[in-house]
Amino acid sequence: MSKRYLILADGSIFEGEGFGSRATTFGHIVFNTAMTGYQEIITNQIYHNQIIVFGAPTIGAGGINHDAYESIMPTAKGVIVRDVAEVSTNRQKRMNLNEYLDYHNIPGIAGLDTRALIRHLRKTGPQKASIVDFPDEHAFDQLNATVLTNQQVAAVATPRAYPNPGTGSTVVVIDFGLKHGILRQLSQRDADVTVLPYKTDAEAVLSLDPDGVIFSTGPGDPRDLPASVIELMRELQTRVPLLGIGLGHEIFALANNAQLIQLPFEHHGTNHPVKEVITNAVLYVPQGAGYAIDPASINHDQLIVTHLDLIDDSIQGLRHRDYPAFSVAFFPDSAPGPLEGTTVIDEFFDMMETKDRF
Amino acid sequence: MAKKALKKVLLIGGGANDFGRESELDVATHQVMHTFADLGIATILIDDNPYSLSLEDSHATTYIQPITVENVRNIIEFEQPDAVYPAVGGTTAFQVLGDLFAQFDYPNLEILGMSLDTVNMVNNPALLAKRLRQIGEPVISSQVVNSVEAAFDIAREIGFPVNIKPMAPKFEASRHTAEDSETLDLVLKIALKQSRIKQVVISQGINGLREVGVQVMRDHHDVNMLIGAVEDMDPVGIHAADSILVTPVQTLSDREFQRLRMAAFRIMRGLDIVGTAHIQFALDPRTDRYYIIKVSPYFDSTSTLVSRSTGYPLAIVAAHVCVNINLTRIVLPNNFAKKMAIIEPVMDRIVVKFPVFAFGEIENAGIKVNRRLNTMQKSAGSTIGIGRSIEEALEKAIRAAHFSNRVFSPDLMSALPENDLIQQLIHPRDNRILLLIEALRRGYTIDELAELTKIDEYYFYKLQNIMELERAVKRNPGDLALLQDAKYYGLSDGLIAKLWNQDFDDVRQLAKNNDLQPTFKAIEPSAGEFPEDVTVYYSTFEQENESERLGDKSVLVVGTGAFRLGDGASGSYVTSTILDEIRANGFQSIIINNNPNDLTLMIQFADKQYIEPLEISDIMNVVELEQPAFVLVPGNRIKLIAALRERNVHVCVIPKDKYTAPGPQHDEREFAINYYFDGTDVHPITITEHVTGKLMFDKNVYTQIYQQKIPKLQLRDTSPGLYQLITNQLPLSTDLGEYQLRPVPFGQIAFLNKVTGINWIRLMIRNILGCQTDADKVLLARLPDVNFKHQVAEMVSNNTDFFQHLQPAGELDSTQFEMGVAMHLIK
Amino acid sequence: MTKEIIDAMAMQRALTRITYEIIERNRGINELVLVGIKTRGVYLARRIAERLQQLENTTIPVGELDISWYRDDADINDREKINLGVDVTNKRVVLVDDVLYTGRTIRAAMDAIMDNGRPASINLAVLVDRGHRELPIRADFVGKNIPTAQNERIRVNVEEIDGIDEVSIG
Repeated sequence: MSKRYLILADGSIFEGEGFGSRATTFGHIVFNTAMTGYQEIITNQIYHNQIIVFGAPTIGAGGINHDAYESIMPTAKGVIVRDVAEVSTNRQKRMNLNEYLDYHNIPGIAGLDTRALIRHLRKTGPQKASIVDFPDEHAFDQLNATVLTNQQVAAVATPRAYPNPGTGSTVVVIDFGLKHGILRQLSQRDADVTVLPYKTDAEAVLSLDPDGVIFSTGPGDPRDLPASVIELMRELQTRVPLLGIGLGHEIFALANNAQLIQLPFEHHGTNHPVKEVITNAVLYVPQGAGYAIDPASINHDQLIVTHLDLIDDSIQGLRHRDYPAFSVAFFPDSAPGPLEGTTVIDEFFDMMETKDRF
Repeated sequence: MAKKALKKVLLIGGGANDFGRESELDVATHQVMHTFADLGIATILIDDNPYSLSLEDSHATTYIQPITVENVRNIIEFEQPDAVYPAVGGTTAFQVLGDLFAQFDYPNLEILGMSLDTVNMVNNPALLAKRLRQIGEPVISSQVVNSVEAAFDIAREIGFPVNIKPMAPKFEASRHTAEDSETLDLVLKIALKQSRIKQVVISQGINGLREVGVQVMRDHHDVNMLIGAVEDMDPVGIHAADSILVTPVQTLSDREFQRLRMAAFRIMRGLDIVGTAHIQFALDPRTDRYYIIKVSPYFDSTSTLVSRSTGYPLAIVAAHVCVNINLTRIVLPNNFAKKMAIIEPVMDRIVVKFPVFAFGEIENAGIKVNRRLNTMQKSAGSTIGIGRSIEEALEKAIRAAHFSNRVFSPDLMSALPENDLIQQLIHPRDNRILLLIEALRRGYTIDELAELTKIDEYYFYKLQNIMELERAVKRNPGDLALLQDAKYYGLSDGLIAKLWNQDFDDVRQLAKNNDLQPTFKAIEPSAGEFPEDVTVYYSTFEQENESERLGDKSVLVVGTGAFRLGDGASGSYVTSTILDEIRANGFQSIIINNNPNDLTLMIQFADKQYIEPLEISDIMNVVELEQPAFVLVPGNRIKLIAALRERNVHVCVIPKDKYTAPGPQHDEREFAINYYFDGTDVHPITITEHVTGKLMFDKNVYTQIYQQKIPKLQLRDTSPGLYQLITNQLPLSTDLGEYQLRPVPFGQIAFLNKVTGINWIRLMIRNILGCQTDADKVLLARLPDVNFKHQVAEMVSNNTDFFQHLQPAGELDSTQFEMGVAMHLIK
Repeated sequence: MTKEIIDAMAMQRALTRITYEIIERNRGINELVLVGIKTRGVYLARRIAERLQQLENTTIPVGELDISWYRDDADINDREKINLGVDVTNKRVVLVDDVLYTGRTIRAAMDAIMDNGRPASINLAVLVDRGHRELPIRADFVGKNIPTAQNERIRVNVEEIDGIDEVSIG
């Protein structure tokens, strides 16, 4: 191990020991305070082009496991943690975290004062950052010159359709860089799933005669997506039970004339209470959004606010007044995180079961 | 909103300290009482523990009485409370409450936080198991039997190993494990004897599985929160109190962890518990199954550990929700971020809890004990180490447990024969961390060790890191990079000095010269996400220091650390009183301590808390940052006092003997003349009489008869405080040479405080701070002719079952090895 | 031998979904009136009203209906006007009951409502539809369709009076 540095666009330098890949990378920096599920977090495609800071002091104890992937090819740009467990898991023929990150060309820095970094980010907000060998002027020049792509979904979403057969309800998932957790939840409920690329048109979706459609999670700003996506949502929500998750939730809001705002302070973690408005129930759910819906922009004749974050008051769920269509900003598949949010998936299945009544 | 009718609540205390009962219940009681007071609810407290701080609190009407059905019944009759809250009294309160409701009907007395059914389930494992099965939660198959024969019938059916647990035990009693017929025969006899109803539960053995404890909170509106989770490094089969505990959990996958979380919530719902509970699981990693071992809807040492580790105000929140205030509506004190009550705590630090055993002290007294760890608790106390890695937290916890680095030096175990090593790997003892490191040093592979010990491999990698680091440090004296690593992973200056054969101050100077300074980090529940006005800190060696000097008028108090036999909760009582009095006189108080159950670590008592080991280097780190006006150190820390004085630290000593002396033998009696020394004059207070297991006070008899003959004691060059002259001769001699002089033990001070109604500790602190009041002077001048609150009282050793826990080869002196005491007010 | 077929969580979810469907179907909640059929239908209606209150911050009137005197097997002359406690004229009424079976209860309930006034429309919400209809009646909002044999017994428990939310069969 040797010294490596995390440099931030605001000029800050943090020192630590390199692990994983030796690559120099650039990305948006974001911190996650979840205490379990490092593999799920690192492989979540919402972290495309992001450098993830873990609040948990140590990660990696369990190595890399086949049942904890949220994508096949992780696209995060870095992992920052206080302590990475150097376990050898050869006996189980598994990779450890260090080997895994190296294999996927993701650099990591351990031994860094992550608490100081998080306290700094809490004050300064989201920004660009870079993992480098030397924190010199050249490195900062490079960082400042770097323009991170806004075509993030195109980089991580499936280019072609694929099936995940089952014997139950027929579900179409529009993929924007989905978490595998969504597919796992659908499999557990025996759904017959087809995953379609996000550039699909409504006709192609409806030709599969789905009982319901899910707009998946994904990275980036939905306003950078082609307008066809909004059109697709507008069309489908009137025709078939629909659930938007994460990025899909933001698309649902945009399709129904709400506006997005960039959060001054992104919350990534699993510990915020979210209120289900209709019952006053409180759930703890995995969250990781950079954008929220501007409450002032909501047309209440069109949308109902169904879930609210009790800490930052952000809108966490919406529902259409006239159609069986709803969305959540959080990740109801857990993976990682508390399981109480999975009732959202149950609600979607209940909705599909009763859709024939309309 | 609090319930309309709720105006007065009865708290049932936990009684005397014992194995598994430190000060955690007092800690919870104090906070619950104050929360109730803020909510306009009056509190009544019954307890008979002289070390209880809550019994002296003006926020409650207190009854110093044994916790019996009869006494509780009379109090209910007299006080007419609207509700009773059993969660602050542990198993004692649950049993008394269960018995009370079995005999009498109280239609207007609500049990806060749970139904009577749930109270009965806590008292009766079979009822609990039945309910858990009903709600689909897996429990170990077990049956209730009332005879040795019936137990053997079951054992033949389910096979060895089996666990035996007494039903409705006379006191907190743990599982016994039997792997063969002989042991089963023995433990059945013990367990049947322990049971008040002569019944035991026999169940299938689950030794070797992993143990995880989960602390949850639930409100009346069915909002469930996970406050924290604790993983035992040791497998099931070693009592959780004797295990090395780690929080947050390290070796569970998210999937495994979330499953336990949901199970815990289902249990809270299924038992309809409102408030907090600690739920223990056994996990079988091979079959991916879990079993519920225990459900504790009351405060215990795990709830305190979780509260200390996360910074989440567990007791304050529990007190709100049990009177039906929703989690979303709780307004916490200003130190906490807004809405923190309903944010699930996250941690950016690791906390390791390390048990402290008294085997050494007992063996020094010439009595052999059984050091092998099993399902019966053997530890007398515990410490925590907090750091940013397992290595650092573990090193700090061990140092905290032993006051010194010596025990953790790498050479200690090298002489152990191979056979003994293997035997001890399979049947662990108190020294197992050293043993595991020694095994690694001898080349055992991690796979082998994990198989032999049932400890997760992860921990062996961590121990290997420590071992390799120590080796490297030893081989390279003066190496700066290694010094940095060593500091980073929690090796103390003292240990490094020893490894380098150097002077402690040289190592410290080298570190300082190279900017290797400790940085203090706040303990708060959001892992840095929210700004909070935090007062609790621990040290690590990183970039940012968060603790700023309090000011010129601060006083640092060195805590008493882990509870030990003979010296337990009384230290906690004395130091917390000291902290409180320091503040009352306009000084700012700072505590450094590491016992998670200690009263002093409550944020209510000091302006700042440092959770650190209590070695000279740790204390100097705080001294250098805070530059306190002076440092108060208990007198038993002779080397520390000298070391601090050498470094020109202004030390004030709290009078205390280095070792707890044995009490009188069975046929002997001892008399103590107790004095208060104000720095100049010595004032007689009263005489106490001590026989085996009992300390007696009778104002009339002793003071009136012997007052004239009290020898004139003179003291110089010693701290203000309480001292006593001990003799076993009557009539009293006037020759001081006939007496033994010593500071009054902390436990006796606590007793005297409650009996006399004069708080001698507060008097002492005002003396030390130069803040004596006129009233103080008048009181001292009139001694011993002042009116005491009570005239006749006694303090009785708790009936601790040492045989059950330690199997000592001889009788243990109930003073030197006191585990707990109760007091009786007679007049 | 009884078997739980809907647990507390699922019952909550069903009522939540029915609430949303009522909003969808009625394009809002203007002029909406809920009428619960005694005994358990009333509690279910109140819970739906609570949910609407949470979502829309509007109090929806809940009427109560005891149809024991309105059954078509009772003597027609015994019928008396019963007071629903709410005005139904020109309102969009949602009738709420726990179990939909033969349809006779619902028919009686509709008669009772009509006797009270002239609603703009009547919809039917039930927690369980167990089949075996004897009249051409169909629920608009259904918690769960549960196929049953004639001799099976469906029991709906609600926390307010039974201490637990649960639907069991046996």
